[in-house]
Amino acid sequence: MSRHRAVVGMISIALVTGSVAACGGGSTGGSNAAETLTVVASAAPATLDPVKANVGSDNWFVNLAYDTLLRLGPDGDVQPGLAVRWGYVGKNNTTFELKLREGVKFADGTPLTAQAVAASLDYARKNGLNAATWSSAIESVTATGPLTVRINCSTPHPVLPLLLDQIQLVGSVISPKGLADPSKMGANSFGAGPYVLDSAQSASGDHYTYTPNPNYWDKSRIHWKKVVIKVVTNPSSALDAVKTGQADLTALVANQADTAKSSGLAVINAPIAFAGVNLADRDGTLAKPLADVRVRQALNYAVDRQAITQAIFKEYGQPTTQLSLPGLDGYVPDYDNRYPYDPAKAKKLLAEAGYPDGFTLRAEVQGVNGFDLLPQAVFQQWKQVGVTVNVVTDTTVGAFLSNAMSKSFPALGFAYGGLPTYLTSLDWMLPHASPFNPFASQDPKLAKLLESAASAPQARQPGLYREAMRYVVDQAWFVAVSRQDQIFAFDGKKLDGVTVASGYLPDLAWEVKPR
Amino acid sequence: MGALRLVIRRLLASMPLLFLTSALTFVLVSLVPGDPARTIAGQHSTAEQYRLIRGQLGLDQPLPVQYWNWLTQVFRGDLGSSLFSGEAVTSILQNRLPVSLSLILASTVVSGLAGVALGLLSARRGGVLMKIVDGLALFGLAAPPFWLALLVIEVFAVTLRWFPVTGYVPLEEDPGGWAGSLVLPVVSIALGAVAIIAKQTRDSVLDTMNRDFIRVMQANGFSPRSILYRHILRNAALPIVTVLGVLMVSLLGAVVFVETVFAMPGVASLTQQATVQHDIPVIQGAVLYITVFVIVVNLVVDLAYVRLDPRVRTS
Amino acid sequence: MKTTSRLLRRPAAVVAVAWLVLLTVATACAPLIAAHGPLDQDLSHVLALPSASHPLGTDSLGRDLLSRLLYGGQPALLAVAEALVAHLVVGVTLGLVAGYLGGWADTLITRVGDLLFALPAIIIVLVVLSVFPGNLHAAMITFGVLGSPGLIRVLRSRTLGIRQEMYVAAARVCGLSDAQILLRHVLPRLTSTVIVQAALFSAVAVIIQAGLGFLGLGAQPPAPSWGGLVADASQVIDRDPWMLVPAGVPLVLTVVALSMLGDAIRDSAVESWSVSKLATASAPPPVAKEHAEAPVPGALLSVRDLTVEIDGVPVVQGVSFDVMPGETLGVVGESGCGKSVTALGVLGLVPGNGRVTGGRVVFAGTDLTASPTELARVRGSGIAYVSQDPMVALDPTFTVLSQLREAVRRHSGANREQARERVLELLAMVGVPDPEGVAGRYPHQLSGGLAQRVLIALALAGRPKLLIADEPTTALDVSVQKEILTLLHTLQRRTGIAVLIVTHDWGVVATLCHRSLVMYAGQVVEQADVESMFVRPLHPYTAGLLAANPHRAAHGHALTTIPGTVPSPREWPVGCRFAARCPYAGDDCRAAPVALTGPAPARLTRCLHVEELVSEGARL
Repeated sequence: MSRHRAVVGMISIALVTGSVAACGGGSTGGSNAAETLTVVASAAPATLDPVKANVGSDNWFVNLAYDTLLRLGPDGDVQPGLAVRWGYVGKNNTTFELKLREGVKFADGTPLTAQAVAASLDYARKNGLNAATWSSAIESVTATGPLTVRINCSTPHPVLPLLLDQIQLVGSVISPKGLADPSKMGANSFGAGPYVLDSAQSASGDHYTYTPNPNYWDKSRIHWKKVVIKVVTNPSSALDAVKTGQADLTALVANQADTAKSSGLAVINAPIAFAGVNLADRDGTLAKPLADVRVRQALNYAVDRQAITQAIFKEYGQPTTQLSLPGLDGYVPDYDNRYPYDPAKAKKLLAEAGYPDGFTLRAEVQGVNGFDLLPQAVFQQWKQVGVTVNVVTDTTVGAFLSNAMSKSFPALGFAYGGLPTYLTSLDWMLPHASPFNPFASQDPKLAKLLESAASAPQARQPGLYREAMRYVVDQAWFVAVSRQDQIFAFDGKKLDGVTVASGYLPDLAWEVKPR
Repeated sequence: MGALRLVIRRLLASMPLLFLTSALTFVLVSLVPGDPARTIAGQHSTAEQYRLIRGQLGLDQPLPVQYWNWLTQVFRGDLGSSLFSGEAVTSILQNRLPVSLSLILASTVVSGLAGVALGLLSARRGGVLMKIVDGLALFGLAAPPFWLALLVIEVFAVTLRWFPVTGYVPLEEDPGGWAGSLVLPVVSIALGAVAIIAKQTRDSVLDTMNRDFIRVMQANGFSPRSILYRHILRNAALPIVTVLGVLMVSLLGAVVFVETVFAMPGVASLTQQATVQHDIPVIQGAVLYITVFVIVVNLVVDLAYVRLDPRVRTS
Repeated sequence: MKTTSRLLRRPAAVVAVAWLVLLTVATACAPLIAAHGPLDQDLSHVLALPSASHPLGTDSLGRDLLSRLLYGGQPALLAVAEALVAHLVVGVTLGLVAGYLGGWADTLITRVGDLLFALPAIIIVLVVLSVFPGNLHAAMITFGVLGSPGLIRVLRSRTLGIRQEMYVAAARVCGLSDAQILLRHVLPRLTSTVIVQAALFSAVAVIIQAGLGFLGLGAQPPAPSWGGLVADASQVIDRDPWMLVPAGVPLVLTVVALSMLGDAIRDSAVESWSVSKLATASAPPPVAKEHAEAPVPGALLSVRDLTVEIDGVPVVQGVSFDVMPGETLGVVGESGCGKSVTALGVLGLVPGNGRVTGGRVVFAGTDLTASPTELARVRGSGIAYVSQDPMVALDPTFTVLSQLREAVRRHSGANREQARERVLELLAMVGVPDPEGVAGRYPHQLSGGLAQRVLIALALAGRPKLLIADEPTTALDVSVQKEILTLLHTLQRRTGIAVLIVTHDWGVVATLCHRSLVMYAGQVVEQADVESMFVRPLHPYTAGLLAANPHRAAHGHALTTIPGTVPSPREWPVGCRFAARCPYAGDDCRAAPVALTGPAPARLTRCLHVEELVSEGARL
């Protein structure tokens, strides 16, 4: 049942592309517009508990109030955050140590100690959104000195530094006061970030106001007297808000970019996620045909990726058949076109598998931010090879994830952010029940490949992960269709430091400042 | 005179309504598949934790007992907390009440004033104006508020940039901004209402004009201005007030849509969101608030009757 | 059905029906009309404007909007039908039961209805949807039920009315069961009311179902729905505002059509209840041209050739008379003869759409018909008016004091306190026992007699020279009638005011009047001093009225009535208007308009057979 807990992360990086928007200064009539940054998200945060928040769509809400142990830069390099030094201890990527910054206090005045950090990480690994996946390898977190924290893993975890950055949120450090009563975190902030949530000036689900944290360790990072995040679910309204000066920054859907540019806004973009349909029931529990790899491949061949990508994303998307982005460790360049559009071949494969007249399938998609468009387009093309899909559309991310976990849908529309393959594999390729692998499908060969990659030294990992990616795409566990950009439009005359990159969001907490 | 007694009597009479809606919601909500305890406990909880939370929430009790507990809680001013944000329902609603109230009150005032003015004008002038009011009534009633809202946004916010596209500005923060943020939503809500009031006003004014006492006044030389504004309007006011009261309640429907389109944090859109999310305590709280609102509106209408019609006051 | 043909004569109704039929047929035949399936996508033409292959353009996936609109109409119409059925089943049943059975059933239904009426339907529908996610059927049925109290109210009151009527009572005696009576006798008469309500409710239901679709609570995408189309349009409004048009306009048109249809059905039903009123007007009969004499010198009021038309039809024609200062003139006739209209015509206040179209009204030497300002000035201060039913002649929302004070101040410019004194004086003058107490009361707290006294006081507030009293005692009890007549008599003696009194009661004429004027079918038919008229009426109508007078029956003669009824203005004949009811009428009477003649000094009559009448009258 637990709906919001099931909200597994990276779906929402993709959410960002359609959802996070910014609007500035409007609410006070612009009298001190330069001092207020008002940002608009297209979806309200599921919760403000930093480790339960949705990765991608909720990051701004969390990052403003919670500093993370490490920080990801736009170039993909890991930089110091609340920790100044970090690294694996010994071989096998199982032990990791962090040295904390001195003299840091939480916004509530409590000193930030190794004890507090260990407690916070412990809470995250047990209760966080991705407790069952990304942090499942972590066995214990201990304070080994006043400012030293050690993370011990039961199995190799090769990307702990990334797990602890401001994108993945697990490293958001929560004050002991917050941990004392976690239910309070839903509506209040207990972090050591540059701002604090001003609940008096916020209305949950509508707008969230942040004011500077008087105890922040680096005052030079605080660029605004006030940051407001306003929830506007309609992308047209979000762009209109920026166009009319009611807002400064908004995310766009692809075909809004031209409109935004023509009205004088700055538009930036970078690859962020990929979308398609997950053939989750690979064992054929609900839909027997899906157990046959030829059927799954047929469903891949039946999709005209070029046409769909062009129609939905225009130049802000590229066709792909894999679960990775250029620049990430598992990316296989020639696997962007593993299944060229070939309905005849699809039909042939279906016939070979014993389904010459096709079959009927139930599928679930989420209707938030027009995410249902791409799966709808795919289903319509499947129809041409005889496969009929009965679609259920959920109107919230939470409902989608919880329905996905209920194992009642053999196929699921997906939008998933580009991640290091280790993290992707936990959600998709290993037998953990997740919204992306609800039936916990397993494949011993795949598991073995992934295991050796995780424990391998840094330099050998990309090659091994590419091998795993090839294998899973060949097995056609899913129908990836497009790689898509996140696109932001903002008032270039007002804002500076708005940057996007693959797997990187505009950093409101530190980098976005008045021009 | 009897106003206080009337207030008390009406309040007592409205208790069944409060009871009915809360009980109805309670029963309906108890039918919702799924269990809030599961939601709160989370998927990694043990059976023991789950039983404990169920006990804490009183979900292991029979339904009537649960309802009674909820009622007594309500009397202590505690409506529970959102299953999602964990925020107290009362504070969520308190935050959002001003938005919906602003919208409804502003829409009522606008439709009252504009409707009565238009209605009077068309009653006196007849002809073309009457046709315009009729046409406007037809369009105002027929145009769904969510569609109308999109239309006015496109024209007045995006193209002409006269008003903000979205959002609500609290009155205490910036009265000018507050008014500005209400204009387009109120137009979307009130267009149909203006038409209804205008029609009602025209009908009851024409009706009153034909009553004997008006002829007696005309025949005995009362000033036409006094006849229209003092006597006709006052007598025509009763049905207008009735309609206005009914309208205020039914405007809630339009408010749901308009709050959603304009991204305004009101109670109506909250109810819609909570519906989508199955956030049961929030739904219950919102329904309770809305029912109280309905009761208050009815009370105000009754008091207006007392003020306007001596027959109610003295009998 | 008559109503149907009447309905089809209304262009608005025809257009509305045409649209609804077109919509229903097009929706039902969507596969035949639409060139594309609702899900067929044309990925190279997304968000396209209308073209030959996509008459209404395409959406974000290049799906044909016309096709989506038509296919989306199917669930929309189904949802509306579901809501409507629920609405009608609950509303009609409970409305009939409450109105017909009365008693505790009525009380219970009415109270529950009131409770439901107070609920915000949309919110309850949302709660229902939270219980049955995505179940539009449950939502629409709930909406239908929640909307039924309005229907219950309307039907209950109509049923209540019908139940009182005779034939239902008769049917009851004949041993029909309640259910049979309801089905055979009551329900058929409610049909048009039910249809009107159904049309108006359907209009609302269309909006609601679209609204739920818009909020994503209705049909699931990619299945097409009307509300979903608006939601889709809202997503792309900045790139493709055109989409708002196909998404919204058909919706608006459908609701408009339903409301227009409802209005039209209601109007044509009303039409059938009052056919005669709206029957096509025949050409007004020619008026007998009479010499309008100059006003009698010294007359307070001189009316010459007064003609009043209502809706273009003359109801009073060529009426002339004078009222001398201090004189009381009675205007007598059956109802429908134009007495009251004449009285009001003097004041320029014809009810409804009527207006004075000819003649002159000269008051104290001033021609009121020529000068609206003079007319306005004279009202209340020169000529005052007392109407028929005192219970509705005062503004129910103001106290006696407040209304009288307004009249006093209007005519005298007195301040509040002075005006109050004068009000008490006036009340005392009209014989109100406790002026202070009565002044503080509201009209509904007064008895009929008291209200009439107050009304007379109101009329006297401007110290008028002439009082027009339109059947001032008709609505009162017999004992009270006497008191009021006495009051008028006393007032007249004391103040010397002239009175023009409209009545059908010879007793009133005998008590109060110096002269009297008999009117028939919009004309003066006889005029004489009271004494002479009673003794020797010179018009068969007067004679007939006198013969039918109960006061006279006391003399030992059988009470006779005049056969037939007063013709309505559209039925006035060319010749003598009384001919059809007159024992003396001959072809000469019917041939041409009969003029008013003076067969004796100070007497006028409009009869060609005065001689016969006089000789026969002598026989009596």
